[in-house]
Amino acid sequence: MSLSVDIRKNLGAFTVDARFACAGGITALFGKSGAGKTSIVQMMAGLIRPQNGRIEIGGETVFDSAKNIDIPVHQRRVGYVFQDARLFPHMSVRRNLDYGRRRRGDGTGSSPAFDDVIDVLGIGTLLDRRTHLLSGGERQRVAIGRALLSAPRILLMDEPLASLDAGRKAEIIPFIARIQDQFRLPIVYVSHSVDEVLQLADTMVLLADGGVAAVGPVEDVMNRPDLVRITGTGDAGTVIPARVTDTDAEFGIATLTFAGGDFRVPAAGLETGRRLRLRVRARDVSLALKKPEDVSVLNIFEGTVTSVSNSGRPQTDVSIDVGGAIIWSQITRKSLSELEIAPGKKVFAMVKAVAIDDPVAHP
Amino acid sequence: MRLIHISLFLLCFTQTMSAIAASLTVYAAASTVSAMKPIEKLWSETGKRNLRVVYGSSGALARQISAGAPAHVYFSANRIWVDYLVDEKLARPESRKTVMENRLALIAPASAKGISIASLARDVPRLLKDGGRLAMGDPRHVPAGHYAKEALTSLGIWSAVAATTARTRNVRLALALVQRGEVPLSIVYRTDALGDPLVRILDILPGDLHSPVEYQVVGTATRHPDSDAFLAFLTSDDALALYRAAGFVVPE
Amino acid sequence: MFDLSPAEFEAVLLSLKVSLWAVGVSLPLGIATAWVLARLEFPGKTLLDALIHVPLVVPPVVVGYLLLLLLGRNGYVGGWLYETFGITVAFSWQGAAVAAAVMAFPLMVRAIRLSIEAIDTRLEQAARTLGARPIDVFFSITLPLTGSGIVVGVILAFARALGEFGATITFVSAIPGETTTLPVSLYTLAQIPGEESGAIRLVVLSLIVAFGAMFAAEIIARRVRKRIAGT
Repeated sequence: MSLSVDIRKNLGAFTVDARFACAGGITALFGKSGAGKTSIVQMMAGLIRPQNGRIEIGGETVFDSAKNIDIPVHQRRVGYVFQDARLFPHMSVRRNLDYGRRRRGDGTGSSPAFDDVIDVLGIGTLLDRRTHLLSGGERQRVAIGRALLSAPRILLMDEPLASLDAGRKAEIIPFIARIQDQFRLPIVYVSHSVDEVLQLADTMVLLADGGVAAVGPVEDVMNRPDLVRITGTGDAGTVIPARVTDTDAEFGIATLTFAGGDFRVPAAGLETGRRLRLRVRARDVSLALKKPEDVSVLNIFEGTVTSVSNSGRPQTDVSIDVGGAIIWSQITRKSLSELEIAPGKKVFAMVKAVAIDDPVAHP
Repeated sequence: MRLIHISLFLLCFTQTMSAIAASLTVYAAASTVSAMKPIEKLWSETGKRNLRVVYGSSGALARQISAGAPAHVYFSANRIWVDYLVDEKLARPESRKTVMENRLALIAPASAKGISIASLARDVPRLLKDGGRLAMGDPRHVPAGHYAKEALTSLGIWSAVAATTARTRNVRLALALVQRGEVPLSIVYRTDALGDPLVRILDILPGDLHSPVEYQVVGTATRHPDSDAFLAFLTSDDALALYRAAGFVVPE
Repeated sequence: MFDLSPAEFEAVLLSLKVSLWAVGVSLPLGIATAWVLARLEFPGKTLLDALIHVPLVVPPVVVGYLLLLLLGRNGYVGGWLYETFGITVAFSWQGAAVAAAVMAFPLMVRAIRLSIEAIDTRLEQAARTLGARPIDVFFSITLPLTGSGIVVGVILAFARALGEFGATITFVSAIPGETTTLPVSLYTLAQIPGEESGAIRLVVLSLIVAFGAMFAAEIIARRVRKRIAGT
C-alpha cells in the first residue's frame, strides 16, 4: 500500500514543503516540535488544505491542486488517532468504537473484526463505561480502536503517546506494534520522541523547518552524523539492529548478535530469536590498539577506523567499521594524537554500555 | 470629569421636571385628537406655550389619574369615568361640563366595493358570514367599544356577532385593521373615519341606539394656574367651531 | 379555594397552548439559525444577527404592527399565503403563537448559539475522519452536545412566550377563546377600575403557571446534563 506526499503550505511562521513516499509498515514522521509534522498528517487526512501539491493514498489521488481534486475528509478512508484521543463525551466506549464502524466499517468489508480489535487493544472490559471515567492510557487505546474499526486503508497517528507518562507509553507501544502485525495496516506515526520511533518504526521521514531532511530506514537515518543535530540525539551514537541468540539465566546475560559480532548485555526476559535495536553512545566506547585482556568490559570488537572528526574541540568522534556495522567512539584529541588514530588503522572498540530499546517484536 | 457629568444630568433633569411641572397637562381621550390638535394650536396663539396633551383610552387614563398621574384637565369620551373620578374626589365636580357628542360609524375598507347597508340588523351579520371579523374596541374598557356593544345590543344582534368580534385595546387599532383590509367591518367614531381615504363609511349609526357619546371635561384635584382658563377655553365659541369642523356634534 | 372561572381556565389553557406551539415550531429554525451564526462566515452575517435581535430592541407593539403588515390576511406575505393556500394566522391562536414565537426567537437563538460555540470543533473533526458526512456530524455530535444550550434556549423562549402581550394584542387583538391568553386577559382586567381582584387572581395564576413550567424545565435540563456528563 503506497503513500505519496508532495505538498506545500505557508503556515505563517514557516512554510511546509514536504515530499516523500513510503510503502507499508510503520513510517515515522519525526522532527522537533513545530517542524510541521502535525500539519502534514492533517493535510493527508484532508483536515487542512495544502496550497498546492499532490497526495496519493493506496493508489488513489486524494488531493491534486493542479487537477482540482480534493476528496472530502469523510471519504478519504484514513483512520486518525489524535494526541488528545478526542473520544465523544456523550457516548459510551462501545458507541465510540461503533461510530466509525457504522459509517464505513460494515459495508466495505475491509474493517477488522470488532472482537479482534478489542482483543488486540485489551479494551474489552471498558465497553460500557463513560469516556470521562477512563485513564489516559485507556482513552488512547479506545481512540486507536475506534480509528481501526472505521475500515481505514491507512492509520495516521499524531503523537498519540505525547500526553501520557512513561509507564502508560510503555504499556501502549506493544499494542501499536500488534495492530500493525495483526491488521497489516500501514501506519504513519508522528512523533518527536526518539524512543518511540526506534521501538516502532521501519521507515523514517526526518522533518526540519517544514521540509524533509531525510527519508529512509530508521537505522540509516538515525546513524547519519550530519543529522544528529536534527534527530537531537545529543551525543553521537549508533543504532544497531541485532537478534537475541542466547540467554544465560545464571548471570542474566543475553547474547545479541549483530553484523560485527556478539554483544553480551545484562538483560532479563528476552526470548531467543527476538529482534531489537541497540543504541551505542560514542562516549561509552573506548579504543585500544591491542586487544585488552583481563578487563571488565564484555564487549570488545576489532575493527577499522573509517573517519575522524577533528573540529578543534577537546573531544573527537571516531567511527569504526566493525564487520559492516559502524560504531562511534568519543575520545580526547590527546589520545587521538598519542595513539596515532587515523582512517585505516586497526583498533579495538570497547563498548562499556549498551541501551536496548525496550524491545518490540519486529518482523 | 464625573462631577461634570453628574451636574449636567441634574441640570437637565431638573429643567425637564420643572418644564413638566410648569406645563398644563391634559389627559384626553384618543378620539378627541382631531379636535385637540387645532385646540392646541389656537391655545398657543394666545401666547401660552405650556400645553401638554396625553392621549389614551378614557378608562386607562382615569385609572392612571387615580394612581396619581399629574393631570390637570381630563377630557373623557364617557361620563362614567368622570363619575368615577368625582366619586374618588380626584376631580372637581363644579368644573364639569359636557362639551360635544360623537356618533358611531360602521366602516369597511375603501377597496370593498358594492356594499350597501339597507338594514343594520340584517346586513351586519350577513357581511360577517364568511369568517370575517368585526373590529371594535374592547367593550370592557374602551368607550367606543362600549357604545358599539350597546348599539349592537339595541339592534338585537350582539349575541350573534359577539364571537366574531376582534377586540382591540383602542379604537385606533380597530381603524387600522380596516385601513389594512384585515377585517371587513368595524365600528369606530365617525370623527375617526371622516376624511380617511382608506376607509369607507357604510353607515352612521343612529344616536338612539346607544347612550350619548358625551365628551365631558373636568378639572382634576391637581390644580394648575391655567386650569380654569383652559377649561373655559374648551367651551368657548372658537373651540365649539373647531369641534364641529372635526365632525363632532355640538348642540347649538 | 381556587376555583377557576371558565374564562380563567380558558386563559390558562390558551397560554399553555400558544406558548408550547410557539416554542415547538420555532425550535428547529432556532437551532439552524444559531448554527449558521456560530459556524459560518458570510457577507451580511452582521445584518442577519441584527435582524434577529429586532424584537428585543423594538417595542413589542411595533413588532406586532410589523407582523400585521407582513402576515395579516391582507399583508405582504400573508395575503399571498391566503390566496395561494387559503391559510391565515390572523385573529387566531396560531397568530398569537406566531407573535410569541417572534418575540422569543432572539432569546432562543442566543442561548443555543453560545452553546454551539462552546463545542470543541476538534470532536467534529474526529467524527469526519471516521467517515461522517457534515450533516451526520451535526446530528450525531453537534446537536447532542448542544443539548443543554437547547434546553436553556427553550426555557427562556417559553418564559418569554408565556408573558408575551404587546405584539399579540396588536397583531391578533383579543379574540375570546382564541387569543385571550393570561397576559391579554390580565391587561384587560387591569384597565377596568374595580376589577382589581380579578386581575390579582390572574397574576397569581400566571405565577403558578410560570413556576410550574420552570420547574418542569429544570428537571429536563438536569436529565440532559446527566447524559452529557464529563463534557
